[in-house]
Amino acid sequence: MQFKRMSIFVVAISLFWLAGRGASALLVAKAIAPPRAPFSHLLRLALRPPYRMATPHRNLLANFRLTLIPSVEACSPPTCTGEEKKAISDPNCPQDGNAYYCPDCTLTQGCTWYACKYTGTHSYCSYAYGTPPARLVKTTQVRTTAPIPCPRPKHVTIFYGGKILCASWNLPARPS
Amino acid sequence: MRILESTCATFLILLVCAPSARTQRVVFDASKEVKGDGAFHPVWDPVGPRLISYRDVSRPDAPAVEESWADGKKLSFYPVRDLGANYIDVWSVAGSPDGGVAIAAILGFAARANRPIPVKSVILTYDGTGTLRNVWNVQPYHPHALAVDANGEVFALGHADLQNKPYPLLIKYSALGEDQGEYLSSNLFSDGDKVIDEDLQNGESRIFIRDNLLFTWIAATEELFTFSVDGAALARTSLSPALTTMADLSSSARVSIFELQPDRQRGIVAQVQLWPRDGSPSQVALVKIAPNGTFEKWIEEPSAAHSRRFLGLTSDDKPLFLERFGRSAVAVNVGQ
Repeated sequence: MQFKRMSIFVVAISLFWLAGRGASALLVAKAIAPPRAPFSHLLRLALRPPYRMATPHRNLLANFRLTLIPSVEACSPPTCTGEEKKAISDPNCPQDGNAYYCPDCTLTQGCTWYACKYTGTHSYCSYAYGTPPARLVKTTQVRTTAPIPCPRPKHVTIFYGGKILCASWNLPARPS
Repeated sequence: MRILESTCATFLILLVCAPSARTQRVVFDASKEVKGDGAFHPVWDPVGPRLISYRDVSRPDAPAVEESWADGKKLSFYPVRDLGANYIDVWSVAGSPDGGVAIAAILGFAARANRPIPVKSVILTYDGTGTLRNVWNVQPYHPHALAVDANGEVFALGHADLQNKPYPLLIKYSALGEDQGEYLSSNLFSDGDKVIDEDLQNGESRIFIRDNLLFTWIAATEELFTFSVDGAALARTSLSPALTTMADLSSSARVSIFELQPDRQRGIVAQVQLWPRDGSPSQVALVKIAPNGTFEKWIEEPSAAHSRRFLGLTSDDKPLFLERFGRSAVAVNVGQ
């Protein structure tokens, strides 16, 4: 009788351990896989990962919470922050007055680097990363549409992660 | 016109490539690449040595990172394809000792215009064959700068989407992606974690590994922190005295740092821009800063002429510059 009880206990513990390992592997796979990946893809990723996966800053609970509330690039125009794009002069760029700028963003000269600075005088729009809906935290990935003409036809120039890029995306118009 | 430009560029590249075996010249021609969303940003890795170019892409067939070696070898990395993402914004790239790279990036999983976009903050490592080896979801951290030590351990400088402050700005990850150490608390700075991203004068903060020392440049406070690769804090040096001396010597109102690299003597070689008090055009210089943060000497005197872009130092402390060939190709003359 005691042996039977002991066996049930060991089996239960083993099952619990296996379930924990399985759940953990699935949640790590979920953290790595595209957000709308089907369960079969997650299972494949967890069982036969093509590369090593890790979520170094999360425990099982945090993984579970972030699975329910994923991070998104959440903020977009017309949410305005009163920030303006400010160019940073770069000596590798052609001189323009007292500063040096590369509005065309070439490989050799690099791009004009921009940073967002709060001025409160203009209502330029910004993008931000965060966890919706309550905790929308603005980070350095602040983006503003840039008022610099793009050299490529049918493209717009945007400020993106500190760089000026040409893109063919249909961006929302910059508010006046 | 574009065809003519492209032909001229190709001719120039052929001229450059021909003697490359003798002169150790690393060439990168972006015109041969599948178009990405933006221009490549070249960084120099003295291990190899190699030129690593990175950019943001939203096409699976477009490499986000390219390695160009002195012997003409090229290696491309395709994280959008490998991870099924819609786009990647690469924030930093560092070469690893096996010839691969570590990439700090934001992966987006929807078209850029369709917000909200699900995103993941990741560190990826590729080996020297271009194979994806590690994917670490490092949220809530968002690394801005990376460095890889001789053991393949990755250091990441960045900020975090955390309510609880202070928190460490510098994280060391094992080659398997474990959090092995947390350094440089944000409460060391009066502006807290904002020091990572708030600076208009001195570019971005960054980290370097040189001779088993980890150097962390905090642009906003003009400070250089030195750590051992085990994480022991060794020095906190302000470069403000050197910048003040440079301003005095050149009658400048202010001095900005564009690029800097630690040398073998634990001093700093930096490319700086000087803004004259009289409002005349700014000047550029290459300067040596002593390990204690004081001005040592001009390596290249301040000049108003259009300057070369300083990339870094060779293993024997020779400065390297980016040379331009046409609109879409660059080369680095490693020299012998």
